[in-house]
Amino acid sequence: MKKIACTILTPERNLFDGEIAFAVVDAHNGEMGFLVDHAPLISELGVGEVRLSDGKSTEYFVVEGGIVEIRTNKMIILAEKASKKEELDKRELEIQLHELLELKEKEYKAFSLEWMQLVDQEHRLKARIKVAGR
Amino acid sequence: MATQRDIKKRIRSVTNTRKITSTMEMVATAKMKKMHQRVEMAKPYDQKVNEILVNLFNTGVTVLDDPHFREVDNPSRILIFQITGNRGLCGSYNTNVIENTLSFKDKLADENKETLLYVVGKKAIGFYNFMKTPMYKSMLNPEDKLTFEDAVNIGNELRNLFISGEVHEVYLSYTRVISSSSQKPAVIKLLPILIEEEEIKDLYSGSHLEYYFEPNPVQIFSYIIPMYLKMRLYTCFLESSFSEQFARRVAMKNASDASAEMIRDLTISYNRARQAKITKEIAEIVGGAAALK
Repeated sequence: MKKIACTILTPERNLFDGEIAFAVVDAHNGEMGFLVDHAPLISELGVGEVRLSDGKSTEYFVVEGGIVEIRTNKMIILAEKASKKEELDKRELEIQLHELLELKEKEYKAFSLEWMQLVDQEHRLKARIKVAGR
Repeated sequence: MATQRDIKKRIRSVTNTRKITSTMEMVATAKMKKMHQRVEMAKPYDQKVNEILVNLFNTGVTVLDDPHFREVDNPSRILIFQITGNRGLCGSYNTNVIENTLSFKDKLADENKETLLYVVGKKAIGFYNFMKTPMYKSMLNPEDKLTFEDAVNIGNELRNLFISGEVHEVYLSYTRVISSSSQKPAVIKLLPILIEEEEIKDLYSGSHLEYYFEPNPVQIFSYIIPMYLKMRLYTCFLESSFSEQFARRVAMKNASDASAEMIRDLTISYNRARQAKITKEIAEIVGGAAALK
């Protein structure tokens, strides 16, 4: 069976390198799936989950912004920041999220710069929690 | 002539110094290896970003509209971003970069251009303070604590300065890693971005694949350009840190070797002094015995 050679790269490390049958990424405006022999494509990624399945098991990653390129069954995810599911601790992340939400409610006016930054952080944390809970 | 005791004291002090330098050598070697790994890790990412950029050019996106490529006709305000280390004891690593920066600055001054210095690294800050050269801004080198996020923050800062028109060009003065055993100080242009024609040609020679771009090429382009900048900055930081550790290792190795040599010489003169003393004592005893007869 043909497979996709997939690599997840961040500037600091090489997170994943292997062959997969099916991939789902969180593109800029929704999920996008790739099967073997996908047409060449370059897409922007949002903050979200990446699922890589080799037909038997699925691996989960969280990618926080980046670009995906696929061509001739070679898929490369260039992420600014990315983690494996195993590296995330759901409980700890939930505590962080809780603290963040409290701070957001109390300290800042809605739509101020700091508030927007906290919303961004919130998105990232939620994406991480989602992956950690898989 | 130095007495036996003086020489012994010196031998002891040189031995102690040698212990320190050889430890530093080992520490620098370990740090260098770690940095080397990080440089290697960043490489595939860097290549890929370049590749995507080339692919974008091939689709014929008009790059000229992008503010990062905007060239000012008569650039008069120029920022030099200089990366050096926080610490000394690394041979001429810091001075090389500073010298290179200053000669570049002089060259610009001859063309009546105003230069601003953005200095990274404690040693260089100390130097410019001593020379009373004004700095636009300075910061410590994050050294091995450097993360990609740090590079992102600095990158954004430089970008904003450029885009707001406060400075017309941004140069980077750092130590470039040519191979793992040879590093040279270098000055490169960071902004406006220059994509060498050769690079573009290289791209054309490659596959003529038609890509789909999601959401559209322009959007991807405006995302990847700042990415490219940050990556550039990040690798320059890594290369500089690697070079620093390399330079320190070499300097410390030389120092250890030199002290080994010194200990050898001192031991010889110590033995001579000892022998001379013994000979003298014997002569005295013999002289004394002869006088009694």
